[in-house]
Amino acid sequence: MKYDPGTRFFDEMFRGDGQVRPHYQGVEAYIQRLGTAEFERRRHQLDAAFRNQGITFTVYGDAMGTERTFPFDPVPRIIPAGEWSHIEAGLKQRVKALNAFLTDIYSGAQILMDGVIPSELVFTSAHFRREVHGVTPPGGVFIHVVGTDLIRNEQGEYLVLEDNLRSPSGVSYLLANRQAMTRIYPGMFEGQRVRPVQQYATALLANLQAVSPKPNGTVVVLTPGMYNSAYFEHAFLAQQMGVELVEGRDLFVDAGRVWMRTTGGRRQVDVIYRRIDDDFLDPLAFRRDSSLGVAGLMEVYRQGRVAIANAVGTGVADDKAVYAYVPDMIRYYLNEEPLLNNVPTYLGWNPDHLEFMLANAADLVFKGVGEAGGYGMLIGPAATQEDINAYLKKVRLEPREFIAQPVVGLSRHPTLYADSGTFEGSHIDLRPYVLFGQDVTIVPGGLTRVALTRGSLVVNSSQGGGSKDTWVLEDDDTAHAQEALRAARPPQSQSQSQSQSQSQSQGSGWQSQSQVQGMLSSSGDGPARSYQQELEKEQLSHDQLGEAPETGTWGAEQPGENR
Amino acid sequence: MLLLSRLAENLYWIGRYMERAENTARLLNVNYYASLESAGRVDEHWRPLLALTGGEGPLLERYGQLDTRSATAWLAFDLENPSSIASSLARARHNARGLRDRIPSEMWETVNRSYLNLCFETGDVMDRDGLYEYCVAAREAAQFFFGIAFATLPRDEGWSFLRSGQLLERADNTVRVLQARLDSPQDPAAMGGPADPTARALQEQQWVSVLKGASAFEAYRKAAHSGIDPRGVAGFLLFDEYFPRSLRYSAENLYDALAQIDHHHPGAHPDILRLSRWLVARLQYARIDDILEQRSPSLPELLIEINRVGAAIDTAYFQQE
Repeated sequence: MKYDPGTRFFDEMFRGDGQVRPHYQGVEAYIQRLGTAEFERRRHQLDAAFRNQGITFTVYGDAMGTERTFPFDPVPRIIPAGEWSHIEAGLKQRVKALNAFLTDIYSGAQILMDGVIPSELVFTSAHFRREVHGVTPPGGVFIHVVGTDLIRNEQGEYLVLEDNLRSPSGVSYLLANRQAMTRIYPGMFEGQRVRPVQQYATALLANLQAVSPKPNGTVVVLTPGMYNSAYFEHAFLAQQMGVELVEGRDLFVDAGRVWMRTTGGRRQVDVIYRRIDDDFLDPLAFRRDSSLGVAGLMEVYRQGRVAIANAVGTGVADDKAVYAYVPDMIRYYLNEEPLLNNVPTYLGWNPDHLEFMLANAADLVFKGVGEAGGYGMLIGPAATQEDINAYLKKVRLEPREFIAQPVVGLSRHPTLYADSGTFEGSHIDLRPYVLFGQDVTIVPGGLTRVALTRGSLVVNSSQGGGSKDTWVLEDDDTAHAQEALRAARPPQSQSQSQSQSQSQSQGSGWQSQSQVQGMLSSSGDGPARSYQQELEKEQLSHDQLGEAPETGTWGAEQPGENR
Repeated sequence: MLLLSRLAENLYWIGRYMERAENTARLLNVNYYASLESAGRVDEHWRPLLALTGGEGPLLERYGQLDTRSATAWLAFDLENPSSIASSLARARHNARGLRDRIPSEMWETVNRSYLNLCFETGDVMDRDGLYEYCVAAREAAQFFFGIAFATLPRDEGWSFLRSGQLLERADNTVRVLQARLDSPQDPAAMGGPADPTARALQEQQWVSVLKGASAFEAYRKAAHSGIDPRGVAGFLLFDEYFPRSLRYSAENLYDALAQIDHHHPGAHPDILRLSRWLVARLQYARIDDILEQRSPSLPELLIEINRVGAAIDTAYFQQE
């Protein structure tokens, strides 16, 4: 297989010396055997299958209907068992701490009184919902489904870029990708011991049923409707779980309960897996112009007669400014050191950080703290001076609403390009899906998103991004386990310096961390974040999988050194 | 097994739209090929067919003239025409999309494939003489769809709603096709038959088209053993007990489907069953002269009764609370 891994980024498949990493050897041999032409031919079959099955996301203003398939690259991304167990442990730890944080914030707020996180940051978050203060959701579970975005830096260390705690999307593509891959390239799986993923729907249903206020409760999936960009996913999950897919107009509240309208009259609903944002859930409690929600739902929820997954108000914990404190939450609630590091983050809220941000804007990526869908971002190295000046004006006005991060060089993965008929390196990230309840269940792997447009570093689907099947192997021989682990885990010294910086977040910040090169990605909360359909239409072209446009490598200088 | 009202409505309408796509495809195909050999004026040839779907006004507005090309484009691909084949398929697919979690994936895929293949056509189909293939593909899409439903869809309430929509559409279509033929100015002596052999040949050809438009030509031949006389054809399409596209057969099966829905909510909506049973009774006991001569019930009355059943279904099951 002809491929140049380069030396600038961490390559998932090849080592710096050009050797295939051990856990990729089976796939490499398979591709050699099949030949690139045949490999490419089968990929067309795969595209046609996705198209006929309607595995699509919604695009507006397109003559060929309003739906497109999500581009797919058939070279799988492989994670060795040892590396996965590290990720898994890190995610479990993180999700436990986040749920503890939400429980705390919406009751006694001990963490704020102890001064670990500034209360101002929490209470000023746009996603903090005082309407649910004092409400303990069934089972104490706030974040039933979490999609955490992970990236790997130039050294191969996994970093958390973002926690999606509202209604993360994309899991249906993960499942569809695997199904299509096994159908079209069965031989690739032979002897590889790839861990299965299709148990997700069963696990999700069990997780939802577990929080029902009454035994054998009725579970439904609440969708904004078929014009939502993630409608395929909503329908797919409902179908796979065997539960009803409902819209707001199918539900109503009466006598302190939630009901759905059926041909036989009303039927009580106990658990709502909602793919609609808080804002649109109940016009009586939140946005009054919402026609997507159910009037009176919040009152039933407060009475504990219906479970809503994810719970209302979880967005406060994925606020990008609050994100910076997740490592501190882990220490505070679990008394453990974080297994997965954050990407270094400067908070506009902090005057020292702000000063640094303003001085080094050209080298940083700025994001609005409550934003999703790629709005409110500034990619310093790609921006003109006017753009930067205009943006910084906003930052000065409302510093709390902004954060900045150095640009991180995402790892790359060989990807087949049809026009050249060769494999080239493309940047990738990883979104594992975590089910949190009595236990924490993580489907092995996650959705790997890949920047397919040549030279582009944007993994976002609206910007020519696509996805890959993601394999987690059952076991590793010791050789690759060792090698993989060395890269995947935080280097000892770096971990320390990070935690120091984190705990001194009032201090001068991160300059020692800001080796800038490459790209940073940011991801919002899924197309499932609800918009009314009209609003959506404007939005959708930007928000296919609900991520921000993600930004690339500009080989920027290291900003920290320039202050 | 519960069924959301919205989904019941989707199922009912997908049944109607798929059936409509199939009917329009069949009628268009038959008429197009008949028009090639037609001795009459082209616009008169197309007028009865256009009368089924809202008349020629909108077509003239859009194309400026009524000829074979504009008529076929309007009836086949034009998404501006709400009852064109493409529109029916697109609407069926829209309803199927709302049902993705409910219907078997194979059913969804067949609708989706037809939509992708047939709803983005333009006039080039005509340029490459592809209308026949287009109509066959549309007809087969519907047949394939109902075939998969027959083989894989659980026989719960949802099935009965799908079936109700299909049968109601079919009954409606059969009556309209007959009515359009009988109203046609070319048929002044429909019941007797003109003496002029040329006129008789033309008339016969038109009635053959009516039969073929319902896929009834072969069945009629086997059942009737007589020539193509208008009374015989009308009687067959209205009353035949065994032909699955006759009005009587459609009405009886519509009643059965509605009775099955009623099983799930016994006695909740007695009016629907009464209306639908009344329609069946009339068709079981009426004679062809009652309808064509006495006009009791007339074809327009039958049409109204069919649609009264549809309105009752809508009120009872789709528009509650």
